[in-house]
Amino acid sequence: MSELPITIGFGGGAELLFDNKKNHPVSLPVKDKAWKIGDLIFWIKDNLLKERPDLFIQDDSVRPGILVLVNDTDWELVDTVNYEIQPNDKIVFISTLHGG
Amino acid sequence: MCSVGDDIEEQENNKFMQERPKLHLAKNVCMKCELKPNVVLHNKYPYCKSCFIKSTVHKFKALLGKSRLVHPNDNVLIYHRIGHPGTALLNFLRSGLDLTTPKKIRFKPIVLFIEDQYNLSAAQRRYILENVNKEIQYFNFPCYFISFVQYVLHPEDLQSHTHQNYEEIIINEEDALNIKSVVKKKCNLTVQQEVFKVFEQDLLIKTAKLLKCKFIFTSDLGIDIASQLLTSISLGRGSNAAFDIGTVDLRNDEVTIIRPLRNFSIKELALYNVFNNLNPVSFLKASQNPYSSVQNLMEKFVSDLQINYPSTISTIVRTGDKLSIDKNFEQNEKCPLCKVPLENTHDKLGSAEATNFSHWASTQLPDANLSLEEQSTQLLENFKNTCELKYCFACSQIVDFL
Ligand SMILES: [Zn+2]
Ligand SMILES: [Zn+2]
Repeated sequence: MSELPITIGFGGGAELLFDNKKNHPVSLPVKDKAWKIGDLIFWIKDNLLKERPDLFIQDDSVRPGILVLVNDTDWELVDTVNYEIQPNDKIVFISTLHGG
Repeated sequence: MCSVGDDIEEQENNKFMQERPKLHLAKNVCMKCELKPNVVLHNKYPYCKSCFIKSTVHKFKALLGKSRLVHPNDNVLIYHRIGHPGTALLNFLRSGLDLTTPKKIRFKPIVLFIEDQYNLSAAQRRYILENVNKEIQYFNFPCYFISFVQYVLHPEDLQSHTHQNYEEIIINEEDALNIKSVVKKKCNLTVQQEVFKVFEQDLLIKTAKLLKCKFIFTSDLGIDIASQLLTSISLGRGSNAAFDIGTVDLRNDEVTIIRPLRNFSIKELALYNVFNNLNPVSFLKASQNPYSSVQNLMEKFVSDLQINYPSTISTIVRTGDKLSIDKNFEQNEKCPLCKVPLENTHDKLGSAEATNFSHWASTQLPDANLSLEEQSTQLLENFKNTCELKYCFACSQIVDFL
């Protein structure tokens, strides 16, 4: 398999940074090493993010206040940025930053 | 200002505060049913999805039940705000009302939305209003909309600002300018935000009375309460603090404010929404400068704490819980702005009064026919008469700007 198909989701306001689109089915190009969520965050920044990267990324991870779910499971239970992405995973980023 | 030595202090603090704790699970299974966990709270309590939802709902009910104030058929004004807490609160209430078990909620929620995004464009504000209306309709609650700007400009006319149809809300492009006209030009953002806070509290209480609600529910979380507490203290509102942060705010005789979400973290409520397929209304907020006012600074300070030292938030809230109203003042007349009972004028002067006194004394002409001793007695007597407290200390600082 030369591509890694996954679904990326945004919610809680994070979708505003991505053309207001909540679901993005994508295929990641396969590389020598496994894809980790840490890599995915930078791939999203380069390929999907439309504005204000500071609202999404901080240092090597997502900005505090953004929750990440891997197949409906809190990413803290699967080693956060180090989780190795599997085919057909659904990875969702939920903003918790206070609205008005 | 005092930056010298700050670094040393940081290092000192690190010794005592627990920084961003790492995940620490005794067992990687749901702590209720031992199935595979989906959520971990406070880095150590794993739950599966269904046990997480159940325990979140239970926590809400427990906090409501503990206050035992609201009776069946009481009207309760729900102060709805945009975001995860507001949406979660509506869902807690809707699912509680729809129960057929004895645990069913029996009071009557009426939702209030205050339109106060006057810093955004008119088109954005209409878009937000429309979507907030959709959200409230989805939960099927009676609801009212009020324009904050209109209220501030004409506070005497509340009834005419209260609309069941969101389309009747007046939105002007110049609202940001219009609202600032109620405070004098020279006042800084800190004072401005304090004045608007007083208006907001007033508006809430008056609307509750208008809609025959004895209670108001807000969607304040622990983190909001912590930042409010620190703000109150730094603005000289120590006596407001106890009212501002409790589960129940009894400052007003006729309307009681209840904060049923104060023991929740934003993570719990955001995940509760996600697992219930609820997405709050969202919009990109204009970024605010954290150093432009005391309130914004406290908000930043507390959210930084939340990130780096999460356990300190509940410590602040719990410390605040120990504050109480001075029983000696409880029956006193209330400050007309913020409604805290006024303190007694003491024989001993506090530092604020001493400053006032020296300012006042230096503007008085001495009566040359009296001895020095008589002069000072008279001065003191006159001063006592002039300083009948009309406002609490903090409000007397902002009232000049109104
Ligand atoms: Zn379970
Ligand atoms: Zn006051």
